[in-house]
Amino acid sequence: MPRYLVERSFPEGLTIPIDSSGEKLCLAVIANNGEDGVTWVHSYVSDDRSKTFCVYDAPSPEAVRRTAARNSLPVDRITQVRVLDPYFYR
Amino acid sequence: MADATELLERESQLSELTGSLESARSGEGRIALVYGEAGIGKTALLTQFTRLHAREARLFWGACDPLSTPRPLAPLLDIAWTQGGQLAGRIAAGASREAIFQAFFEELRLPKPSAIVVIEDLHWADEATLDLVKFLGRRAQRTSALLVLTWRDDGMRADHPLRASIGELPRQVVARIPLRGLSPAAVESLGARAHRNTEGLHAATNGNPFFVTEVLASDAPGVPPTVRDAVLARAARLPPPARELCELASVVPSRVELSLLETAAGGTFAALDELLGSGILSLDQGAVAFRHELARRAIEDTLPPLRGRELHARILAALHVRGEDPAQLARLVHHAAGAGDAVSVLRLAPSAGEHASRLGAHREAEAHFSMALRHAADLPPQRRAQLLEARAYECYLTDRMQDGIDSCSAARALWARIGDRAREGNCLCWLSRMAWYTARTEEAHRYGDLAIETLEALPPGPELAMAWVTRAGLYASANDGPKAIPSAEKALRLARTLGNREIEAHALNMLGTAHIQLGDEEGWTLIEESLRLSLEHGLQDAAGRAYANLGTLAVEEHRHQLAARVLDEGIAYATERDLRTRITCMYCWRARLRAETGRWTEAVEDAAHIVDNPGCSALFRLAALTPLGLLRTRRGDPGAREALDEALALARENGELERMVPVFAARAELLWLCGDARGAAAEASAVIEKARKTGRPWYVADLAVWIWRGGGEPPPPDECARPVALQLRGDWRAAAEEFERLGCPYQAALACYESDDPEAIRSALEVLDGLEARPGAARLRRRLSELGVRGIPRGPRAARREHPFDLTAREQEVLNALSLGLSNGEIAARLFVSPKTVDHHVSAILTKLEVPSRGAAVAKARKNHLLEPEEARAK
Repeated sequence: MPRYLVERSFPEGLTIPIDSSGEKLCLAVIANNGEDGVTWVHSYVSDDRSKTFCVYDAPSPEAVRRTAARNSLPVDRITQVRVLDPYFYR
Repeated sequence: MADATELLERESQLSELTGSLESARSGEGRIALVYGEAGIGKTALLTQFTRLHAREARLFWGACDPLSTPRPLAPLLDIAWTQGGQLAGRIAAGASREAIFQAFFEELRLPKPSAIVVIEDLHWADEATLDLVKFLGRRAQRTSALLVLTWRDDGMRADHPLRASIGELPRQVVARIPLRGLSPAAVESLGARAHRNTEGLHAATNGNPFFVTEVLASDAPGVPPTVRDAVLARAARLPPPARELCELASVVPSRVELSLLETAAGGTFAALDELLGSGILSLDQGAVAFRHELARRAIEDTLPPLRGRELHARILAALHVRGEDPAQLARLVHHAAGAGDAVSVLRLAPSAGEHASRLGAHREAEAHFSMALRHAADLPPQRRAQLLEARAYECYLTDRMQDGIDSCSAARALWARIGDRAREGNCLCWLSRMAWYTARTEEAHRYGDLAIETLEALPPGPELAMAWVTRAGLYASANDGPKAIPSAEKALRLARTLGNREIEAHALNMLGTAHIQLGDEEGWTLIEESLRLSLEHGLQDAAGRAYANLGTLAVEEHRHQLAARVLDEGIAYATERDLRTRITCMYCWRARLRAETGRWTEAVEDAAHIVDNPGCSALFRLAALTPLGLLRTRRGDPGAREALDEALALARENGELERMVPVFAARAELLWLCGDARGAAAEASAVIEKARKTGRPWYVADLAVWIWRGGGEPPPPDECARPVALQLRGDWRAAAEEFERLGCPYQAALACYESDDPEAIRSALEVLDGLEARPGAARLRRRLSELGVRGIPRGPRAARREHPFDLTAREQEVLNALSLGLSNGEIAARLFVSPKTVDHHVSAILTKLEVPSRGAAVAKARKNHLLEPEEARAK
């Protein structure tokens, strides 16, 4: 399955509460993703919390957009990516 | 997270258990009763529950065994064995039952931490264990323990001793937690995670999580071995007469009426009560059915072949006693085939096929004709050829072109051997049409020519008229109006002479298509006439074809309102009659329509219907990949080039401009947006001369704009459709207005790229940001900075924040519809989207409003004034 890097902007800053409501939010996101066969691998969040870089496994960019819409998450850019690490040539 | 995915729809049960544990912890012991059919997920639920509380509670877990003679106190032995200590000591010392119970009870009474005692599978309990349950139950309240009892309730007899033991538990401390099957949505969601098609899975499993997960985990088709073994183990415990009755019932799909079963079973029918008591089957409104369709298949699949035939023959005979009602034809065919009774199959299957086809069940009709063909080895060739033709036609209607071609070729060979030239010519026509759908255009022309050659040698008949229709269709597809019109006219005249309404409708359609392509308004009237005639006379294929051609041409000619109306109507018509070929075709064109008119999310869904279906014809794949690639291009998403490369390869094979122009135009746009203006011009130039030859202003315009933007030599503006002609003449403002008028927001905004007016570009930028058209927006931003504008808005504004619950405009529409009590199907029809989309919106609404059901969503919406007009809400 292709892997995608999804860039998102949060002009007012991203807030995910560190309590049960945050957990509920994350679980809802995962459930929504599941409906389209989309897996959220993990995300990097900028220090000022205005941008996120989210790694996803998904069948197509359309599936990424569909789940983003269901989760009310913005999408700036979707890039298909592969892993390259320092041990690539060993 | 793995646990969360496996435990779907068990949140309320988990929280009920947690609530009981909290009472227990505060010193008021509780008993939770968890029950449901085999495989419903009792153990999974308790595993998850105990894992969540592993740190704060002591766990005692024991289970009863399905031994023919149960071990006395098996669950307590399990517990003692894992716990050791005083309890184990007493048991080893051979203490009395009361002393052992007392020892366990003392253990539970230790105040901290509280205890969770799980006793599983009590339907298999021995008497001593039931006594233990009563003993603990009566004392539970005085402990800080939670006692969890589980059992299977499917087929548990009224006089099962467990019922009495449960009935004696003190009611005030008992929580009943029955487990039910998963909902269709949950099954679908599990399927999506496993990337598997779940069609029919909910029905086959009744949502039983064990069956669902086993099927999803199994690579082989059919009943997974784990499921089969579980079912067979239960059936093996039945006494012989009940088992025989079970086998007989297993050859009847879904449900079998008691009267039928009685006639077929004879003496063994007396074992019915015993069979129902096993829980494998259940009784419902005068019929028995396997609790799970998968269980039925497991039994049926393992019947020895001769035994299976004999059982089918008994059901067939019992059905015959009731007479041959057309509604029963499909059943008769099924059992005739199962009984290996070729004579009956050949007598029944063709009528069943015709019956199904008339009802618009074309996939079933195809299956009946195929069934007849499998038994047709000894039929005279003429009869066999007729069956092959009938099957080919159903394949054609259901977009299984290659199967259709195979059948039709076989029929053609038979007619040639018999020497029936007219039928042979007819087969050639169908071969031509079906080859065209597989993008083998040249082959389609070869068959078409051969058909005319064959049939012109004979006296004129319907076959020849149809051959002319076919030829007219091929020329029209090639945008060769001057050649299409004479063929269509010949077909029309002959059809009218013969009084053949169906061929007349097809001929009118082809004639209209050719006239529209030549820019003649009269063409629209002709296709409308074809549609009216087809609907009036119930001509399914002709009507579907008229809808499809009218819709296609309206999209091409940018008559967007007409296109939207015709395609929505046509898709509804074709869906009702299961005309897969037409449905698929119209989905492709609606995707393109929606791509042009800024409804991108819906466009993608239409296209995905087809692209995700590997079985569809090459031509449809091409027609869906093009808008999909275009939308990826416009949104700057990955995979645009791949989609358009594949589309290009298919378009080259098809070779028709109707499909070539959009592919080349999309590829040019992709290059231009990537900054390769020259490349864009070169790409569009590749087919511009061919497009000019058709004289169709939109074909020329769609390519000319990229040649012009890329600095190439565009064709004269007069040859282009109006907005592009204005662009080429340098009047960007009028061009933008014209695109706006046509309902094309993206192209209207992009027309402002050539403007020097910062205000116009700014508002165009807003449109593109709203569409999430990132690459186009980036081009406009660059243009603004070239013009020296400062303070360019940096990106899409967070417009969604305005709704109090963050609902999108679409979700609000769906919510409004929910408040009227409409079903998903009705909402889908109202909003012109698929029911699946509505389903997505509804689940988004539930998530955002944080409610569990549609009813609760509407209640919350009312309370928060979400159903009032927006102006009122703003106050």
